[in-house]
Amino acid sequence: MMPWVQRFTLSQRIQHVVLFLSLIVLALTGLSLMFHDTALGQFMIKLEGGLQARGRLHRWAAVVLLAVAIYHHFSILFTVRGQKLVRDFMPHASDLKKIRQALRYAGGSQDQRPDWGKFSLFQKAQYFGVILGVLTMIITGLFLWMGPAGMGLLPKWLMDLTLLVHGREGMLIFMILLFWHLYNVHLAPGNFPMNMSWISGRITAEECRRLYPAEYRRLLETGEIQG
Amino acid sequence: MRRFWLLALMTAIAASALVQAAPVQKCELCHAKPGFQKVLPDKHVVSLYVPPDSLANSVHRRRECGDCHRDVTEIPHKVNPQRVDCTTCHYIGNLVGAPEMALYEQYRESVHGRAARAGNANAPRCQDCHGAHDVRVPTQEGSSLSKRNLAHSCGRCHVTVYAKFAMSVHGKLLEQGDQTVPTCTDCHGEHTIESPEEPSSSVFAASIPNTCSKCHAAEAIVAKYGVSAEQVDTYNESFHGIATTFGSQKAANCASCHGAHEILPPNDPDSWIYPTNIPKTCGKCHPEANANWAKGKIHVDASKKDAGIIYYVANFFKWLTLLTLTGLAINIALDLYRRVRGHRKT
Repeated sequence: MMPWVQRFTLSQRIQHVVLFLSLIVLALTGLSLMFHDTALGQFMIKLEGGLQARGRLHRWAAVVLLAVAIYHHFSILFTVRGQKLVRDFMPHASDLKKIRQALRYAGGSQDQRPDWGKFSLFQKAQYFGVILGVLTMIITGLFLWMGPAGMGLLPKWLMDLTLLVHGREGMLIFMILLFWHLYNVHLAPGNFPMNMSWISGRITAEECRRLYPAEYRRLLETGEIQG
Repeated sequence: MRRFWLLALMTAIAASALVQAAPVQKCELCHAKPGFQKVLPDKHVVSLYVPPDSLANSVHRRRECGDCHRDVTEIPHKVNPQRVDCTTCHYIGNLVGAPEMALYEQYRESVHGRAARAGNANAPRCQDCHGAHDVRVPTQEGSSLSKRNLAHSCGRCHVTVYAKFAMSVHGKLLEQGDQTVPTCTDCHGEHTIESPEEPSSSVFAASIPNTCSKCHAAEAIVAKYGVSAEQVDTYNESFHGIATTFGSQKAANCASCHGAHEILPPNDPDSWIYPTNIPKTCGKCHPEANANWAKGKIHVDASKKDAGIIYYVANFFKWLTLLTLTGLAINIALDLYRRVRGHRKT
């Protein structure tokens, strides 16, 4: 029996599922509006039940996203596991040195993988990227949701800016998820069809030793795994 | 010799009678007198005077009175002649050489034609727009349907609409002799004219952007008036435009904000879209509209510099997206390269 390393709690895995389900619905309904003048966009809007139903679907998904975002913020503020998660995600000065290792490893001038802790700097950047992106989308989205009432609060040009940012930021998030996340967890050699840790919440000790050496050493030291 | 003079005299009399016979029709004995009129029981005075040159200058210059007024068979006529029915000649396949056009049938199905068939005595028939005795080719100067006269002809019935139109940017330019600006039929159609409530109408809510765009999306037409041709595109990208495209009849179209017959240039303080009037104009649908609604451009194109901060933020996102994706692509390429290399080693 291969030893396992627990990577995500059940709560974190559920949050992840709720997050990506809501993001998929938001992306589909949002992009179909953005590309309403194309045949595909019109087909999608039809599929979503028309222009108005599309809007309702988008806002329902937004409520789900808002709920999971609020839940996550409470969990990282008030639960021990949540606080540990944020600590693991916090960038550290030593990450700069590890970036160099990562570049050297990628270029082939060193055979040792970078000495990442629980999360690589790329994963850290992704976490805070998601937080920043979701925050932007929620704030701009709420103003847009208010519609004419929101327009009374902000001058017209700021409302236009809100709409612009909502669309462009949404597009950016969609592209990152589509190209990078899809590659990393699904398509990268060895991962296809997917990295199962999002369901099981764990990786093998061997994988941990290979990809997250610093974390592996820490787990050995604390006795959480036996070498 | 005597016989000769007698013959000559008789010939002269006959000749003069022949010469006079053609122009002096019996109808003109009465109808060529300028003051010829009748007074209706309600004291309404109807002129029955037909200026002699009106028919002579018309497309029907070779027709006789009786060709159209077929029910007049004796003079003086004891019963009032009926209105002339143009379709006695103007139908497809006619034998008298009248132009054969599908327009006659189109009129039958128009809002005017249907009203006329339903027995509305006020509904316009051919002669109400084209003229009666003085009917001319519409492109001809002096025709009641020439670019310059058409609005006035429609205005004989549509009085209040005409009064508004005459004061509008389109109406004023038309009055100055501009041949490009729209007159009634350019937006409403001619023989196909429909009520704005009918989906087939060119001024049906959902069709208005399309109708206005015939000119306002054409750089060649609107540029000389200093009007941007992009307003239609920016509208189509707006909330209102998208809703209209998808069949909403509630969403604002061009005329909802700019007005239709009363449309004025945006720098005219009476224009519906003059900044101080915007809260009121938007307020027709959005009671919460306030001065904030006028702070910024309405037709915004993020790809144009005059969009201000919108343009710069759009550019920022363009580069942010490009750089991020490039970075991610390099990251993926490096990862794949390392994996392939790693395989070779082992």
